[in-house]
Amino acid sequence: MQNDRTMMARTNWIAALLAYSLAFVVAIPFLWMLKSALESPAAATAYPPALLPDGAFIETFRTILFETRLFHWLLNSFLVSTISTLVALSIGIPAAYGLSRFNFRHKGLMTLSILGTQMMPPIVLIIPLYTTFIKLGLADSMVGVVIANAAFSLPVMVWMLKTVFDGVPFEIDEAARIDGASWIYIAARIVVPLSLPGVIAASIFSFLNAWDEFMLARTLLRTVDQWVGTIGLSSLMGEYVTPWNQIMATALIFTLPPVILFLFVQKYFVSGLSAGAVKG
Amino acid sequence: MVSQHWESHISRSGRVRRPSRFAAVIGRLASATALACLLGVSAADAGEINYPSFQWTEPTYGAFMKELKADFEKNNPGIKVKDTFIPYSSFADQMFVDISSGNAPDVLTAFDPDFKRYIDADLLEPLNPYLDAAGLKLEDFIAPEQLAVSNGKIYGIPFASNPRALFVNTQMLKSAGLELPKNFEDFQKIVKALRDPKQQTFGLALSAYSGSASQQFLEYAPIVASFGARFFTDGKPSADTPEMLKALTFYKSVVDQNLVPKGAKFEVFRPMFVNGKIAMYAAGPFMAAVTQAGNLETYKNITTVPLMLGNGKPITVTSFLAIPKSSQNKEETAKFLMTLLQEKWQGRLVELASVIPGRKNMIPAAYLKSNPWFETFNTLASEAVSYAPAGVEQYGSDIIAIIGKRIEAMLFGGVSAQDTTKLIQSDLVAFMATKR
Amino acid sequence: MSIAVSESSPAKAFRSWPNMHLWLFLGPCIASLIAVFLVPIWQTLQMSLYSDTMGRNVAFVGLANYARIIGQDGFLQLLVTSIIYTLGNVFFVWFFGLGIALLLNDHFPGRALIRAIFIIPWATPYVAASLIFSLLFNFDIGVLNYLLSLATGGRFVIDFLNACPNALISLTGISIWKLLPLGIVMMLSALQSIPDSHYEAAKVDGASRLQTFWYVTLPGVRSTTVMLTLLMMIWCFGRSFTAIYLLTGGGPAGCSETIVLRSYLEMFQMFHPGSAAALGVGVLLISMLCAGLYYGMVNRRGSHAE
Repeated sequence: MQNDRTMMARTNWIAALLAYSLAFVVAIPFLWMLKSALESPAAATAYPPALLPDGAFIETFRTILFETRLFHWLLNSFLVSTISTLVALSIGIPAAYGLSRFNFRHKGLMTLSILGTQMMPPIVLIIPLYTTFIKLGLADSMVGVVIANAAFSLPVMVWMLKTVFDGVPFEIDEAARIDGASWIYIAARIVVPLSLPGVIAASIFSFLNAWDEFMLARTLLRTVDQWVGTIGLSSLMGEYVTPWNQIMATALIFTLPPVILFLFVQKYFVSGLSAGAVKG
Repeated sequence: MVSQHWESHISRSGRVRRPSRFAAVIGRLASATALACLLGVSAADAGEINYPSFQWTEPTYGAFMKELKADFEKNNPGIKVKDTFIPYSSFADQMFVDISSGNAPDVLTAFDPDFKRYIDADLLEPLNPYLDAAGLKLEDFIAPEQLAVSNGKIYGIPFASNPRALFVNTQMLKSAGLELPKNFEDFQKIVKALRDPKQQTFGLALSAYSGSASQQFLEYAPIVASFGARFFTDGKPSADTPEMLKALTFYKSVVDQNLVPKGAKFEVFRPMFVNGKIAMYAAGPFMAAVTQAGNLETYKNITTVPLMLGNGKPITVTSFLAIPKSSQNKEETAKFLMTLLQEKWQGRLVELASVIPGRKNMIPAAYLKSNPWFETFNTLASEAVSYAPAGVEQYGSDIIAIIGKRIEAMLFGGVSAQDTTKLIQSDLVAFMATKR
Repeated sequence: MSIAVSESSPAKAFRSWPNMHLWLFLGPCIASLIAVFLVPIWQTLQMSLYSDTMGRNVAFVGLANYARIIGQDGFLQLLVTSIIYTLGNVFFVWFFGLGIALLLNDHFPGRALIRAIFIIPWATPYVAASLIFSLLFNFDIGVLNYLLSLATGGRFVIDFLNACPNALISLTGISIWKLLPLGIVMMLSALQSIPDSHYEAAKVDGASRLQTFWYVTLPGVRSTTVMLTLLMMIWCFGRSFTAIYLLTGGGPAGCSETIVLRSYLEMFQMFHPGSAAALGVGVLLISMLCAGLYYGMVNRRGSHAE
C-alpha cells in the first residue's frame, strides 16, 4: 500500500485520461439508462431528446418498488447467482486442478470436450433441458435454476481456472509433494491461494453469467415468487406498451448490485499476491 | 404396512411412539415424492385449471379474467384456476416449449396464424360435446370462427377480437387545417402535410424497421388490406395484383421519403402517437386504452374511422382459447370456458377490456352509449376477416416470414414495389408447391 | 516455502491410486456436464433427424432437415454473417480487453471506480441494454442522430439498424460492448500473474516500452489470450442472439441474420424443431472444427516455442 503513494506521483496522465474517456464511452448506454429512469414516460420518445432527465421519477420508482416484486426477484437473483457460483467453484476447482496437474490418456480431448459443451446454441437445448428438469422434479424451482446455472458456467470456469493453475509453477507442487503434502492439500492450500485473482475472475464470470441468464430461467420458473430479476424485467414489457422509464429504472436497480460487489472484490486483482509470492 | 407393524412393536416402550409415527409419515411422503419424480408426474393438481397467460396482469383483460376466476371458483367449489402469468414477450415461445415437452397447460391461448397450426398438429381437444351441452353453435361465434374448425369439429373458441381501424388525432389535423380523411388522396395529403423533420412529427405511423416478421405484419397488414390487396385468396397466392402494387408503392414511398418514423417499433411509435407526435395509426381498440392511460389530452382528441384506402375488407386479430389434448382437467376446463361464453361474461369482457367478444351480438348497449368510439369497431367486426393468410392459416408464420423478408428488401434494400409483388408471389407459389 | 507436512499423512494411501484421484477431481464435473449438456445435445441430435413438425407423430427423416436448411436461399449469407460477427467480436474484445486492462493495471486516481465502471455492460441485463441501444440508435428520434445532425447542420445522419451493412456493424458493436468486461477481467487477472521480476529484468536490459510489451507482456498473457479468443469464438458463433433478435430480428432482409437467430426463428416462430435442431448441430460441428484447428495450431506453435 505504501507503494501506491510513490506510484501516484508517477501517474501517467495520458493513460489515465484515456482510461477516463474510454470508461465514459463504455458507460454511455448506462448513463442513458439512468437518464431514462429519472424522467417522465413521454420523455423517452420526445424530440429533440433532452440530454438531462426531467426528474419526474418518484411515481416510476414507487410503481416498480411497491407494485412489483422487484426486491423479491433481486433477492432470488442474488441467491441463485451466489449459490450457483459456489457450486460451480466446488466442482470446477478440483476439475481444473486435475486437468492442470495430472497426466492421463486423452487429456487434450477431454479438455476440448469440456469446452465443446459450449458449442451447441443454448436455444436448441432449451426443450430437452426443460424435459429433463421436469423429470427430475426441478421445474418451477430455484434449485433447478441454481443447478443449471452452475453447470452452464462450469465449462468456462474449468478452462479459466486451468489456465490460471497452469501459471503456478509445478515446482511448488513437487516441493510440497516431496514434503508429503496430499494433492488435495496442495490444491486447496497452495495452488488456489496463489491463483486468487484468477479464481476471483472465474467467480465473477460465474456470478454475472447467472445474474444475466434469462432463457432457461424463464422456461423453468413460472410462479411469480420464484422469478429472478431478468424475468421480472421482461415482464414489464407489455403486449401493447413498453413503459420505458419503469424498465430502465428496474434495469438500473438490477445493474447496481454486481457493480458495487465488484468495487469491493476488485482489490484482490491488485494485491499482486500471486506472482510475488510464487517467485519470491 | 411395514411401518405399522414396526410401530406396534415399539409402542410398548411408549416414548418412541410419536417419533416413529412421524418417521413413517416422512417416509411415505418421501417415497411418494420419489415415485412422482420417477414417473414424471406434472405438478398440477387435479381440479386445478392451469391457465397461463400474458393477460393476467393487464389492467383490461386481467381485470376481466380475475373477476371471472373469482366467480367461477365460488360457484364451483373444488375447482381452482391457476393464474400463471407469463410475460408477453416470452409467451408464444413458452407455450411451444410446454407443449413440445409434454407439459401442456389446460387452457391454451393462441392468435390466428399459430392457432390453426396447433389444430393441424392434432394437439387440441374438440370442444363439440361441451358446446352442444351449452347450446352453442358455430354460427354463434364471430368471424373468423372458421379458423377453429377442422373436419367439422370445433377446436377452440374466439376469446377476443381486435379489428383494425384508423386512430386519428383530430387536434393535429385541425391545427394544419385538415379534415378527417375520406379516401386515399386525403390520406396521402395528411401523411405529407403533417411531417415536420424539425419537430419529428409524422402524419402516419407504419412499421418501417427491420425486426420480427410477425410484429411487422401486424402493423402493415391493415394498411395493405385496406387497399384491397391480399397475399392469399382462398388458399392461393395473390400477391401480384394491381391492388398489391398500389399498396406496396405507397408503403415504399412513405418510407423512402421518411414520412413515417423510420426504425421505430411499436414501443417507440405508440408513445409518439399517444403524445401527439403522430396523427394517424391503424390499430385495434386497445389503442384507446393505451392513449387514455398515457395522455388524457390526446385521448380527448382521438377519433376512429374505418381505413378507406381502397375497397378491401377490414382485418382483425383474434385470440383463441383451446384445451390441449394432453390436459389433465378437460371437464373442469371446458366448464370454465363455457362460463366465459355466458352472456353475462361476454358483456363484462367488453366493459373491462374494450374488445369484441367471442360470441356475436354481445356488446352491451349501455357500453356503446358511453363509449361512442367503439361503434367503429363494432361495425368493422361484422365484416372483418382474419389477418392470417386466407385458406392457408396453418402456414401463417412461414408465409409471414417470407413476405417480411421481401418487404424489408423493398424498404431498405432498394427493390422496387413492382419487383417485390412479383418476388413475393413467386416465393409464395414455390412455398405452396412444397406443401402439396 | 514451508509446508505443513504432518496434516497430509492420510493422503498417502491415495497416491498409489492415481486413477482414483482423477475421478475424485474430475468426476463431479464430468457427471454434471453429461447431465446438463451431453444428454440434451444427444436429444437435439435425434430431434434433427425427425420430421419437422410439432405434432405428436414424428417420423424419422434422416438428413432431410439438413438438406432443407442448406438448400434454403441465403444459407451462405447466414454463414458469412455469423463468421463476420464472430471474428469482429473475437478481435475487438481481445484488443480492447487487453488495452483497457493495461490501462487499468497502472495506478491512477479513481482507478477502483473506473474498473467498476468497465464492469457495467456485463451487469446490465441484455434485454435492457438492447432497449437502450434501440433508443440511442433510433433513426428519427435517437440521440446519436440528433447530435450528428446538430453537428453537421442536418446534412448527415446514420441509419444504424435499417441499412446494410450498418445493422451488422451496430450489432457487432453492441456485442463487443457487452462482452468487453469479460475480456478486461480475464486480461487483468492474466497481467497480474506476470511476475514483476520479468519487468524488472526487461528494465535492467534497457528494453523500450514497446519491447517490454512485446517480449514480456504478450507472452505473459498468451495462455489467457488463447482461452479468451477460443471462448469468444465459440460464444459469438453459438449465442449471437439476444441483441440481434431484439434490435433487427436479423434484418434488414437477412443482413444481420446469424445461424443461431435462424435456428431460434425456425424453432419458435415457424415451429420447425427439426430444422432448428439441425442448425444447432451445424453450429456445433463448425465450432468443433474451428476450435480443434485453432487449439491444435496454437498448441503446436506453443510447444515449438518451448
